[in-house]
Amino acid sequence: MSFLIASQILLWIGLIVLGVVCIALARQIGVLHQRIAPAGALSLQQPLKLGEFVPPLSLASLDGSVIQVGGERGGRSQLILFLSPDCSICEALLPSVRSAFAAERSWLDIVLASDGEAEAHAAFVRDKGLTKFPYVISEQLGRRYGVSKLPYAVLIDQAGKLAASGLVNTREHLESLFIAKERGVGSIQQFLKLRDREQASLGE
Amino acid sequence: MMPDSAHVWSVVALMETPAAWFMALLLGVAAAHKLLWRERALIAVSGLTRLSSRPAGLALGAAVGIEIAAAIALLLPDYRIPGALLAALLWSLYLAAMAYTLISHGGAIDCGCSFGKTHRPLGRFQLLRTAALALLAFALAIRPAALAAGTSAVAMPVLLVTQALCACALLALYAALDSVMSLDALRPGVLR
Repeated sequence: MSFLIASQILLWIGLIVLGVVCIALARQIGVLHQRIAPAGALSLQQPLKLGEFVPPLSLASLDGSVIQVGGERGGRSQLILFLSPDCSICEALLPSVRSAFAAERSWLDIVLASDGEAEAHAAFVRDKGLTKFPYVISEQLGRRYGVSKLPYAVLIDQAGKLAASGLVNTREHLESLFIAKERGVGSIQQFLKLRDREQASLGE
Repeated sequence: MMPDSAHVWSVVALMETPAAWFMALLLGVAAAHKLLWRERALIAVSGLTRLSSRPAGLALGAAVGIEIAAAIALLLPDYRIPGALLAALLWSLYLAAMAYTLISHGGAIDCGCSFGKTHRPLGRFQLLRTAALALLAFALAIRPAALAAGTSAVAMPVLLVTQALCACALLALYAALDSVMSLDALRPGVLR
């Protein structure tokens, strides 16, 4: 009987310790969230400014259908992802693009864009299983958004305005564009400026 | 082999005191939290009730008073039922205020219902947790008389220590869940 009582007491103490350890771990994760710099897509110089209306452009996709890039599109947002078959980072990003498409499809359409020979792109689409995404080949489109490095993404909001854009090397960069749109922040640079300002005002 | 109902009730009776003490500890901590971080609590009360600062201050004072009264009553076996009823009423009011705020104004407020500063908006978790607490308090208030008799029959010092530890463990697990749920949520896409 005394063994049972002792084990009962020890078990409750163990549970208390476990709870405290969980609290400490959760706090550490919270501290890490705050300390790690936000992973955002780095915005580059581009002809279009954030918040500006993006004039629609009709382009033929690889499968022959006509795709409207930019402009108002029935209340849906559009992500244009510039990539290239010979860009290894673009290839590594593709699972994240598929995942983002599955998670955000209620409000977002994704268009893949590139330039160069159509045959190479068609083979790329086949090999990587990208047939569910419209794929356009247009140098004009790249120039319009000032794309100089890949992979680069441009997010156009439901009103047809440029919501966010930047280099997207990782899943976090890609999702930062969605968060930027939701928070009304155009780029990682703008976010960092706002955060510094907020922290300064809190300090005062 | 199925346990007979007397055994089931005796096991449930063993959990009655820890549950009452857990609620008393939780109410005590909540009252202390509101007194220590009064500014944050005032913002939360204003956000939930849409009251201006003076009435919100009065409402906050009333909430703290009820929490302390219910906590003390729950600790005293003779006043456990009124204490549990008071706690059930208070948590039901919190639940109604949170549900109304969530439906009418969205969840983008700090409801003050977390021990730490949270960036997570008011949502289903806070509603479910408050509903569970209100139900627990209500269940304690309307427990069968046989259950209460069973509780008083096993009041040994060792049992009291075990029950106190059990109440502390429940509070630690509650706080752990609170800390985990206060973390920034990842976007659903990240999980896939």
